[in-house]
Amino acid sequence: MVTVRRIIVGNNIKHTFIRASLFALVFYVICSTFLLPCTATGSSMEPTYADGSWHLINTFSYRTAHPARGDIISIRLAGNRIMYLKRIIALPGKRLRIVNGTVYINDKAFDEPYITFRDLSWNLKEQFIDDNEYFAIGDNRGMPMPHHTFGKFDKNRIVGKVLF
Amino acid sequence: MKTKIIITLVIIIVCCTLLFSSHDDKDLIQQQLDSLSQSFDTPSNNKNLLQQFADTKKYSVFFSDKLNIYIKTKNPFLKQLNISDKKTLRKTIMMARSGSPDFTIDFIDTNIKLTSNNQATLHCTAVAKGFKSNNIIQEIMITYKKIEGTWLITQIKDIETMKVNE
Repeated sequence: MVTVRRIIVGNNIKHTFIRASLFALVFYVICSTFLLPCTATGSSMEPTYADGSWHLINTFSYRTAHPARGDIISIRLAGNRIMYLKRIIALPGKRLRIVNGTVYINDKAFDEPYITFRDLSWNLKEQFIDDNEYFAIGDNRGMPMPHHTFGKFDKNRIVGKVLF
Repeated sequence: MKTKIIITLVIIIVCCTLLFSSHDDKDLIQQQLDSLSQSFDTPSNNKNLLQQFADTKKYSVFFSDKLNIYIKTKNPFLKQLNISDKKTLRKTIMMARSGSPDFTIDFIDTNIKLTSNNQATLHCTAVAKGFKSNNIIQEIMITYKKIEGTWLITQIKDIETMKVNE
């Protein structure tokens, strides 16, 4: 017990200061570079993410792999302080349309088990996703379509994958 | 022992504050932007505010020639206006986007780029607060021109972060 306390707090105030500074520096570097903390605001990702819930975004997720369908990602606007959290529905080169609340990708109905409520008035004419684009929608399909932000976006807007 | 723990906590708090604090650009353009983000008195209109905003957001286009700025929108309450001064511009933006008297707008992630000695563009995220439900977020691009030593807004354009073909 004494050894553990000595490791954590230390006997020397100088050493404690250095340890705390190093810890704070490492924490700062981690949280500002590859694990961005964020808060979900709004109801567009419910029930998966509740309003006010905390999450971590891994900005290194797509350095080696491409975003996959079903991934929850963060999409930047003018910068990283305000971002959209959405689920990727369609990948580059695909066609997508919504008929009575059901998403069709390349004319096949897309199974979305994460959706609890579905507003059948959601209808969207066919969209073609370009090579450098993705299509994302939030999980709350119970809300009216005009109040839900979704659509195609450029791939360089992806900040990272939401870890939890 | 207590001193060490207090010092550790203080350092962690300072670092966390640095991490989550905003990084504001302190120049003339930023000052103008701050002045834009004040709240304004707008006519109270309780008729379906969110829908009114949704319509405006979809169709509003701000554009200008020199200092005459005008707005085109399908908002039934604001067809078209000619604006010749900053105060009217502010009121128009507010009117276009809300009918709420407690409406405020914050500009976040401001990226200022000087394109020449007398022209600059500002790319930022505008967050409108004051609605009963969610905040409204819009990515915008503001173009500035320096006229007689003062930076004036010449154009405000909405940027579609995510789009669908209607």
